Amino acid sequence: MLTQPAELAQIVDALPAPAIVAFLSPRRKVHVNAAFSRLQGGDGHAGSPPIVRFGERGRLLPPGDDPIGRALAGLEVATAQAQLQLRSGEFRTVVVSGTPCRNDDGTVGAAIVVMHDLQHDIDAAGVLRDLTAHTPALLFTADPAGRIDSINARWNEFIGEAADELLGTGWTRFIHPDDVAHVVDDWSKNVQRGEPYKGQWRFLRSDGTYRWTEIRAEAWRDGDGAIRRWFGSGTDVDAQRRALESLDFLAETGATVAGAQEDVALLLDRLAHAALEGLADISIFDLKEEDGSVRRQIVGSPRSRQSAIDIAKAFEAPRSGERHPIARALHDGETLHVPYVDEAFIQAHIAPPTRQAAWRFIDIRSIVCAPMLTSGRSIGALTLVRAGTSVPFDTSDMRVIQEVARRAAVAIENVRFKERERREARNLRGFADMGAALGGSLGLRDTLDAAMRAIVPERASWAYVNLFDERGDLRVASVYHDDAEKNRILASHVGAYYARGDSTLGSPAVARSRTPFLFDPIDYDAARSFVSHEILETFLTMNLGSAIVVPLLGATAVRGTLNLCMDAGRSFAAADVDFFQELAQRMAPAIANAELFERERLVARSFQDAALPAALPRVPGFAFHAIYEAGKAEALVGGDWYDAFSLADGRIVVSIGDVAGSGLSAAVTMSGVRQAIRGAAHVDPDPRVMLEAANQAVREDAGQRFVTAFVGVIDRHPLPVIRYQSAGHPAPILWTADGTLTQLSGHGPPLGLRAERTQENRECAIPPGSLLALFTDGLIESTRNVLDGEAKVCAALLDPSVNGAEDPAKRLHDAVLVDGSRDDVAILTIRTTGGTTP
Amino acid sequence: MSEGASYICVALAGEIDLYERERLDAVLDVTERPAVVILDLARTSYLDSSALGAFVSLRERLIDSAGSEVIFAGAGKQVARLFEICGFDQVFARFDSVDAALQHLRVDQGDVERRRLESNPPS
Repeated sequence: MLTQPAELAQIVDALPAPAIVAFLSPRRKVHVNAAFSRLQGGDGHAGSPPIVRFGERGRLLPPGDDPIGRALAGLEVATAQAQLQLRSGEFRTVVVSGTPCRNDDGTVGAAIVVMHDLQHDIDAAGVLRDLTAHTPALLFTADPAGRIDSINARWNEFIGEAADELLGTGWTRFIHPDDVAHVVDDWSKNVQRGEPYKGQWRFLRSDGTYRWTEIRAEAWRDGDGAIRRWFGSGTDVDAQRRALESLDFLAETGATVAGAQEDVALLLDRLAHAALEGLADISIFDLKEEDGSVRRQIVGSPRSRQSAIDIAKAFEAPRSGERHPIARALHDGETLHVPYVDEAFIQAHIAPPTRQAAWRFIDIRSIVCAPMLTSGRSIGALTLVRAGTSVPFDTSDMRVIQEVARRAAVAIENVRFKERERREARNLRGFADMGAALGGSLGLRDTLDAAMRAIVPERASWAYVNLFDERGDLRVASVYHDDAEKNRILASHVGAYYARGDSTLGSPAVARSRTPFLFDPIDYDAARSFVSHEILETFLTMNLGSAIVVPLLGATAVRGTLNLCMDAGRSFAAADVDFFQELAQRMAPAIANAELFERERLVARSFQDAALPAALPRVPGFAFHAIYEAGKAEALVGGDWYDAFSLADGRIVVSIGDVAGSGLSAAVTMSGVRQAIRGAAHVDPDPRVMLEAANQAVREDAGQRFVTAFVGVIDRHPLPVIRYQSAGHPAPILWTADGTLTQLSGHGPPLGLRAERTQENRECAIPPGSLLALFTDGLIESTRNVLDGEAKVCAALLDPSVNGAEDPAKRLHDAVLVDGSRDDVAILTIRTTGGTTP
Repeated sequence: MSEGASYICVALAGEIDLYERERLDAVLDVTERPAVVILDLARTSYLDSSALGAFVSLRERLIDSAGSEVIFAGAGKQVARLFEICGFDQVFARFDSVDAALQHLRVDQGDVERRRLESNPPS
């Protein structure tokens, strides 16, 4: 508008002083007025394009450095001396003023340069008057104190009728209230310093909007250097400034988007705040959630004085079916741009009346709703609003907002993708925990406990397991709560009747349908009809709010249910039922294994029970005690044995041993070895022979086994003495009444190895009043520290409460294995009493 | 150094028990004959009877080919006592370290195949 060539040429032609207008494009094309042509000298080449060049000290200046070049670069050139090249080639000193002429977007398109020929004694003030009257720039002069004393006519176009009020210090009333304090401070300090001034102020324009205006001013000094006057200009740089802010905003959104990793809410908040920096007074993000609901983030500018409540009233979240601008951006992907919101728009597009009132109250001036598009669909809408005195959104603003909305959409998709990934990872981790837990346990109870521990408390407040009993009803088999006290209360129901198996509701129904089900909320009235009253009461105490019930599928039948419970006020995630469905499927093989294992364990245990001697020898002068304790670790149900029996000749054969491995096959091997020792003892009661028989039995056994054994034959006459052999077995320990301990060491290799067994039998006396303890490695290895284990056994044997106990085997076991043992343990003790029979 | 024998050093670290049985069987799977297997127990804190059984089984598999051997190296106090108790000292050679074993066998480090089993820490 200000750089239309014809218009500028007209201005220049009207000036009485020599003046030209130069255009940036085509490059430095100039139009000169008649006064300039006269100044430059005779025109010998009529019609040829004029050339305007300046010089310095007799040499031509580069075009970029001369007054025209500087004005075209956007600099105000105020009354500087320059040397104009005349047509004759000579230079003439002139005073030059240059004014850049800007396009709508703030870029310079042309410059007007006015000259005063110093050789003609024309009043400089007259030049200025000419200049100020005709230049398109906003010009003003101020007195040495900085008070405005004259303005040119352009201000009337800009400020309106009230332009005269700018004079003196009146101009401060036209500055944006947010800026006025620092603008006044800035200006008055500069006036004192007397330096060239440059600043951007927001002036209230006649249309009621504040426009960014660049003010430049320079002191005009007299011969003594004292400031006579300030000469200033103003240029509307609003569009330019906002374009820059948009760029900043885009850069910032770019950074925010790139940095978006974690959280959608956080991302929206950052973007909404960034929009307020330069783009809008209110920003609203509406985001479609995956479940169809709309999440909203509204931020009002601290500059605008609307309360959050007013804003919320004006922009209620779109409901489906509504056709207002946000809904259209959200659902249809349309952009709405209303540069000027007026009463007609409000009446036509905003409903209901309460919302209209809020729009008027906030004084909404301009609005853009842009869809957040990604992969061609809209996942939300970005609404930016300018209110009160802000300038309207123009087309380039709208494009910036569309771009921001698009970037936000991409960022949100990324964040959502990462959230999904994290959720997936959490599920996978859950399964991995479960896998590890299930892999490490073989018993059904262990399997279920492991499953519950992997779930509580992250995915459920607590959990319990119901199993069908032989009558087909559900009984509580196991519970797990992270809180010890609550766990104790719940544990009191373990074993208790839970519900009728044929109920068509709750857990029995889930078991029958074999499909997990979410009970949310728990219907206590319905539950009362089939769940045990006591258990329901406990559930009420526990504040049970909702539950997911998962069927426990065994090898052939449904075994029961796993019930995941959530305290009231906490809820399961939507995806949890799927997770537990998956869990139920993964648990099924583990449960089937556990069933198998339990069967085998039952058989092995029965086998072992049958293999252990039904009764220990009853021999005068001797007391035999034994204990066999199955280990806690179900995997290690093993093949430990002890044996003691009398031969016909009165000698007593003892043996103790351990077949490594677990389950039925270990028990079978153990039984074979023990029988081999018994058989050999009846033929030749020589420990070496008995052990060789045991070795053969092991070697004939198909599996590779690690078997240790100790065998001994006790002669009672004249004094008790034991002859023995050991095959890799922990040495028995003899306690004698004088307080000494003796290890019956004799370290042959374990059974099953092809090795020379040339070792002679060893002998050890068992004085009356002594205690000989035979044991398996479970007694010394329970802490996996053999040295420590042996020390404990020795200490216990020295303790009168053990060596003098009624049942020393049991006492020794309890004294050493305070916390029980992982492994099987067998102990056989032989006490010699004072009296021997002849 | 036995002519043509394969030398395999298996380092076992941590507690080697039933739960490691599969992995133990895998590292002790030696098909070469004759083979000298050095079990490096410097970082072994515990061996249960199933691990001891695996050593016995390895020895039984190797013993038929002349020049084959299973050797223990670097056992700490605990493991040494375990070996004493179960009579392994009667049948297996034991050295203070792998280096000492190799020196005894007159084998270069470079001629030894290295294997290792790190037991998971007990849960």
